[in-house]
Amino acid sequence: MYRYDEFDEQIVRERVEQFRGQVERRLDGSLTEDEFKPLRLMNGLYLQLHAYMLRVAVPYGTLNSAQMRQLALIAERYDRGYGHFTTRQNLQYNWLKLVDVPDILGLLADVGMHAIQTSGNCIRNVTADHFAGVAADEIEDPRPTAELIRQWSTLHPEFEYLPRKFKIAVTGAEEDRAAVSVHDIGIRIVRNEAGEVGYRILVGGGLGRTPMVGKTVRDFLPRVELLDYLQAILRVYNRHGRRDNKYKARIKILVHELGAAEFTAQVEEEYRQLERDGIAVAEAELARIAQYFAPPPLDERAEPSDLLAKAREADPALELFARHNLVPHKVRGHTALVLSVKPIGKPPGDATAEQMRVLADLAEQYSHGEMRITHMQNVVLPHVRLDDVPAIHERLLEAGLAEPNAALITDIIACPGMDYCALATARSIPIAEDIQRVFADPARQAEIGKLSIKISGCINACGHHHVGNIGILGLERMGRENYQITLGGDPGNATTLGERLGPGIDADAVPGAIEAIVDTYLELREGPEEQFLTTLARVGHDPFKPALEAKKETADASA
Amino acid sequence: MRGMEKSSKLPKLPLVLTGNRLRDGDVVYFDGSDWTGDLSGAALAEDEATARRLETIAGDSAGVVVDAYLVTAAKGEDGRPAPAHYREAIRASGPTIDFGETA
Amino acid sequence: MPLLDAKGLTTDTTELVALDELETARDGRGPGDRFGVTVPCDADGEELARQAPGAELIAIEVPKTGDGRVFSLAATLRERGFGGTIRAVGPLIPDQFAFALSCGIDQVEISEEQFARQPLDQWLAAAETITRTYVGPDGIFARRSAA
Ligand code: HEM
Ligand code: SF4
Repeated sequence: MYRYDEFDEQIVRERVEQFRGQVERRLDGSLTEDEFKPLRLMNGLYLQLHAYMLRVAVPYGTLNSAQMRQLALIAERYDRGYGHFTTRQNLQYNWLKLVDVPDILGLLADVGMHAIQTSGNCIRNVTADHFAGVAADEIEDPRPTAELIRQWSTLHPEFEYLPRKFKIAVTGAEEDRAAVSVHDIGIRIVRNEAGEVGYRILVGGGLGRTPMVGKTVRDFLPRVELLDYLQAILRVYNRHGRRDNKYKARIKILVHELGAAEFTAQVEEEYRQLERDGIAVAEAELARIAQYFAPPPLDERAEPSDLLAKAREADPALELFARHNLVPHKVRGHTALVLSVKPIGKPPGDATAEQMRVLADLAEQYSHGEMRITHMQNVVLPHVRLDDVPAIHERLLEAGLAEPNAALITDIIACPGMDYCALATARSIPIAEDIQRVFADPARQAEIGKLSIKISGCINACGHHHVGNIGILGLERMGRENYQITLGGDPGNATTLGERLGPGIDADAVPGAIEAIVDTYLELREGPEEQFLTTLARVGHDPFKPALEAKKETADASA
Repeated sequence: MRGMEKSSKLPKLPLVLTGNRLRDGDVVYFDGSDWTGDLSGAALAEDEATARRLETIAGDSAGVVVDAYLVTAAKGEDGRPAPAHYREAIRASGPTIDFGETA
Repeated sequence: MPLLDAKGLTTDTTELVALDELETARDGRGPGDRFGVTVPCDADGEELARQAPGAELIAIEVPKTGDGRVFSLAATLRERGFGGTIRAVGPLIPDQFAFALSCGIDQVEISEEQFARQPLDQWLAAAETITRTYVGPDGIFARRSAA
């Protein structure tokens, strides 16, 4: 894991004191709310429905045990004993007071963490494949690149006041687990014909109210040119991105309005003229940073593990867990263990301070002190010996983190929705909980297989509903919550946006409608191997429509 | 945000004035002289003149309450204000789900 | 209106003209006259750098606190070799001062109302709170490679 040097440490410390001063100046009237708001947002601080919400960066999703314990401590001391893991590799606290936040940022700085640029119209915390350094399909670990971009973009004087937020994601694997094509800039680490490693650069993806898939502006960028090339993209965006309408201010709209070819030409022109001072930096820094991400010393071990195999036979719960929550590791005899922060009927992604400490302990004991946060709002122990899985499973059961549902239908992504969010048009969490209850039976989940449900509480799409196999969007209609269902979204390599199934339905009709959709799928699929998207592609939306209608009627009748 | 334009069209009467307190973010309502955390203690404006007075208070309170706004309320049976919309109901009584230690 | 630079309050009597009067101003200037040009912040930095030779000052109008175009424009002017004074005119706040200075802006002109709320000490303090960022000639990247 990356460790701060004296410079990184200093900048984070100074940033804390800077924010302390800004809070004081807001309270004494030197700053108006309009002036202060961008400053607090750039420190990850929102004002939500009930309190201030702080979004802490978990840089490229990697976290150590000491950091996790500090997150637990903050949850207890300043919040209500829990935190919320988000799809963007952040942790959010929901119940903070403005006056406490400088001290909280200080506690984060003590363990090399921060909330810098986790919100606001600037370059946000960079996200990366959560299986970085673990996955066998990896060309290169994306985290040194992500860390380099983090440093470069932190308080970059030219780019702190962009037209709108700016999200960058990096993946180094064949399978895109970081959803790079729905980011403002998506970076794929690739190899060219000569075998050199470099970057494919995508620009202009995004979800939100105008979902778009990023366009490739450079097929192969030599790695040392990365920072200068980013500089060129950001400068074109900062100068020409729209500032007249915040709904049209993302770079995706600029790319769309100019056309990908013209946008690319402008970037290349700016790049040609630019003072190239980033090349030496990238070269030296990538090498320096990469040292920190050297893989932990893992000895190859026998695979499959006899010990685990026997335990699985003896314990059906472990069998289910092992079947769904173990991900192959590139070192034989090891696994990346997915811990579902999605127990049935609980808010997806919420972890109590107690659970955080259990995770920290398990990571220390079994995973070289390391954890990952996934965009599925789950936690991963990345370097676990297969032999250790039974012991870990036991501890997880006690902590309520042993749900055997990774990537199954109850592994739902849901944004905070109207239970917390000031922008929401409807709630998301209760919908997620109700759906989980319908599918609580692990055997039923296993039968259904991989299927993603994603829920957003408004058109901003923080719950990624566009790319859910089943997407649910909460809106308001005539003073009531109303939910639109989309089918067919896929965040993976062939990014596809879901299509609406029909008119919106009431909250209490949603679980039944989802159940009917799933039943229809089970009926129509050609075998248990055929995944939902394949069936849908084969039969189209039509067979699913009556299911939705029928459920609406029963809901109306029972109302 | 739901900031207010001067002499803009008012939301439907009756109204209360609400916002979040700057220091701690708590939901607060204007009770006629001060801010309270309790919707049922809020001052209910049932006519335009009273509503306009509340509007000026919103502006004057910018150092204490963030983004204060007027919002339609219901008048409960006891004559006290109650939420008229589910958003305000959630603001008034908190998340509708179990969370944290209670989860 | 109050004019600030990295050291404090300052004055600058350079005469400012609009972009389309630039040539006339240049041709008509007497010995020792200083002149400059006022531009909107969506001006094209490259073109401006070509047009501006001779001008001692470029004043960039900033319509809103959050309008970051001024930073890219100033940085572009510096990269393309403009060596005169760059001024940002508009509601910048002290917390943006360090960014402005790093991008090559020398002066900031703000309103009296704002200066009353945010007096000089806030500007000078804000310029110093973060001692260094990663980029730039004295940035952390440069420091590390010098070590
Ligand atoms: C609770 C407070 C939150 C607020 C006020 C908020 C606000 C927003 C807004 C306004 C957008 C739309 C941006 C645009 O289209 O230009 C957005 C998009 C997004 N947010 Fe949030 N969000 C919140 C929480 C979250 C959470 C909890 C997550 C992760 C679980 C998240 C992840 C995202 C993602 C992934 C997008 C869409 C991707 C994109 O930017 O195109 N947000 N958010
Ligand atoms: S999708 Fe809407 S409701 Fe959900 S967190 Fe984002 S802004 Fe809030």
